[in-house]
Amino acid sequence: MTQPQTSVETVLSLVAVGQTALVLGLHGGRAVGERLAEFGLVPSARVSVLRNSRHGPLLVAVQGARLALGRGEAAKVRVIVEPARTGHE
Amino acid sequence: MKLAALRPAFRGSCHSPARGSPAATEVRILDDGAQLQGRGAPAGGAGSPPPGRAVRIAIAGQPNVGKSTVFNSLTGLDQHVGNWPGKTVEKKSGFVRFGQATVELVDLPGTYSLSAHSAEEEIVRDYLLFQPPEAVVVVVGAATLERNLYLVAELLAFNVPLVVAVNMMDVAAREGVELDLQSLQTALGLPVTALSAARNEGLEALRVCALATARGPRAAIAARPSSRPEHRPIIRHLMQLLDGNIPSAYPLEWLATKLLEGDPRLTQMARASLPPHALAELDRLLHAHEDAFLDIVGGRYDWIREVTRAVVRRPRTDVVSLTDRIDRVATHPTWGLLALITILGLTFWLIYGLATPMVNLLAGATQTLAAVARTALAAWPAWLSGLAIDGLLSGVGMVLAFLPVMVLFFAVLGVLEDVGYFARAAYVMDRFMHALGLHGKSFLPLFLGFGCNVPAALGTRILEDRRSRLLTLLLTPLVPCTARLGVIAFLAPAFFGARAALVSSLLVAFNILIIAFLGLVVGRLMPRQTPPAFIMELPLYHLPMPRTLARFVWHNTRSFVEKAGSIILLASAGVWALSRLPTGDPASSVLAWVGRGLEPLGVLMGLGDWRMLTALLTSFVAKENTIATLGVLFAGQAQHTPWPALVAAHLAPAAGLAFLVVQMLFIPCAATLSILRQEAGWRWASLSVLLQLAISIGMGIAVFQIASRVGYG
Repeated sequence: MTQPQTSVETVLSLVAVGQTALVLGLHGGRAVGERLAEFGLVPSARVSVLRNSRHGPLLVAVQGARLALGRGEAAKVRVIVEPARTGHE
Repeated sequence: MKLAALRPAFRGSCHSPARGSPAATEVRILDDGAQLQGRGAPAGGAGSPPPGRAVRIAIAGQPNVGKSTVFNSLTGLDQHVGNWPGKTVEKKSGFVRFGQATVELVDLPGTYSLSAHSAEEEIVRDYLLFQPPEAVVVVVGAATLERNLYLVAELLAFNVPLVVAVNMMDVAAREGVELDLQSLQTALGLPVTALSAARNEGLEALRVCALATARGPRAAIAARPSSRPEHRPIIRHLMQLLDGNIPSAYPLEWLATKLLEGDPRLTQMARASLPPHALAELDRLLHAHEDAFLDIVGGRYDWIREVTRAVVRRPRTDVVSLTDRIDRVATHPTWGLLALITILGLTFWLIYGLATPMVNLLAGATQTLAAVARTALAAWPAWLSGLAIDGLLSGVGMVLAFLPVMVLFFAVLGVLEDVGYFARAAYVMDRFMHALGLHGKSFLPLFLGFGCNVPAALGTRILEDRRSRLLTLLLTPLVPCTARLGVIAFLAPAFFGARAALVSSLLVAFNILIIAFLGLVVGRLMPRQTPPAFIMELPLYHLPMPRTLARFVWHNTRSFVEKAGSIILLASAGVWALSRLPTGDPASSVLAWVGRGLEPLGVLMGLGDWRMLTALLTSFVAKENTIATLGVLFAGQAQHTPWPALVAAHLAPAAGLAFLVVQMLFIPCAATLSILRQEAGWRWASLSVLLQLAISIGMGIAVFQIASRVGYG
């Protein structure tokens, strides 16, 4: 159903709709990183991408909540895409 | 694995399984040996006198967890609203009875964390440090438990007993999220209660639990998040440096952790209190571990994963919840925008369709009343009956007549906000706001501005960077508020007859274009920094709560009625007096003299009549004054015809259009201006006034000149 890009590191802004990714870390400094981390984008957090078109902000689900995330911010989140499966916790 | 020793430290079980029925709650108050008997008798009928001192309980929570609903349900109308000392953030508190005890409930501002990013976060932190309450109720959302527990993780570092109130159980159930609160209570080592504050469920159990926690033994040690092994020696080292050098109100370990996280305000405080050699060591340590924040924040989330492991069961990803279904449209790049435009359009249509007939009815009633009063007060001195009828009744009465517009508009805005739509509008608008160098969040205060510019200007505080705030503050007063829309709703039918609704919609669209254009131009001129971060929560949709809604509408409508009863009353009397002094003849009055001085400018807009210009000038006091002033100045001659028709008879259609354009874009009202000054300073506020003055008059002239040339003269 989805291309198995497992174990390849990418950034959240490049993850397709419907995929789930595991956060590895954050690029960039503390200024933006702190906010991203407080909203739950921390290493080993699981993020589902709900909306991601070529322009404009992403919509993701993380730590049980939905976040709108600017494309620039999403590009700072290092992730690996998880293999597609029918559900997650 | 990241859990510190888990000891069940509180004695009673606060967990209330089935929708928080009070019967399931067993609590023992150990210090006075008495069983708490309060079962839904909050208002002191229980017999014995209250204990001497009120128990102070604070309510904390992240945004969007229904915290204010919980606070409002617990306090009812008995609230004291003020400001936090030294801050312009609203502080709500109230005294209530929990069983037989008197409790002072304090509503802490909603914050995502306790890092000092904003005034709200500083307030919560300072309150817990310097005025620790006897207990803190942390409200978390059942469906967003993991993220909401982040605040709990931060609060655990303070020496304050906590109760975790899991709210919106009904929303979680609808979204298919299952929770085992018994397991949560065991894992947290904190009392947990279930709530559906919107349905009034679980409140009594919360009262009992909060009181028991506040009065219970202080030994409570919950399962705290602990720092990562590699950071422990650093934190210990920091604690040694700080020990004895900083005010004792700061818990050492918490302070050391916050310093390692890079908290600017606390770092400044610590640096100022340390002796030179310790200071050098502190700087060295903090510099060497600049990246520690990610591990510390991550450590709190590790703790959350531990405590929620056996607690939360989410539906499979292929199960589509209600929120998913609505968001398929509401957050879609194309459909979402269409939805937003449709919602705005429907709102105006609703107001014109429903409110305008009522406004006309009330305005008619005011005139009938004036006619009756004229007969009844025939014996009074002419100046007194003139002041009462032409001054106060025509002025204030006319303004009160468009109360239906206000109520309806605030009701619609309230619903949109309460169901969670606002954040979607911001999400959809983000790409357009980027053209101005702003992001989606800036759309929220602008949206709010359709209600009233004052809360909209205050709402710019959600923007983190100064450039976004200033630019949004500059655009906010250009958003046509209900008062200005009311003036249009009132005059447009007289000016344009059957085409009133069309003309009004076009006026609003024109206004929005002006805002976009001004934003583009000023945004170009303001130095661009790195684009501000756009991180915003989208709450789950839920049904609007009638009580919250009623409160919102009442709060806004009341301030409108108060305004009508105070400054508009005074302004109407003042306008009447100035329009009669010194000779008693309006045509040779002071006001006429001022208005005539402006006539050369007015003529360019087709507004050669001094009364029209005076109406514009008085709208600075409050936008509704446009109507009040016209009412005062025209009412005297309009014994039988409704005066708007009289105004219309004086003006060519092009001039009427120009008048509405100018009044829509005219300078910010006094209340908005004072907020602009408070939030951005005098220079920026003055710039805003000058800019709007230039835009409104420029547009007024352009509209009149063009319209009269194409045949509407």
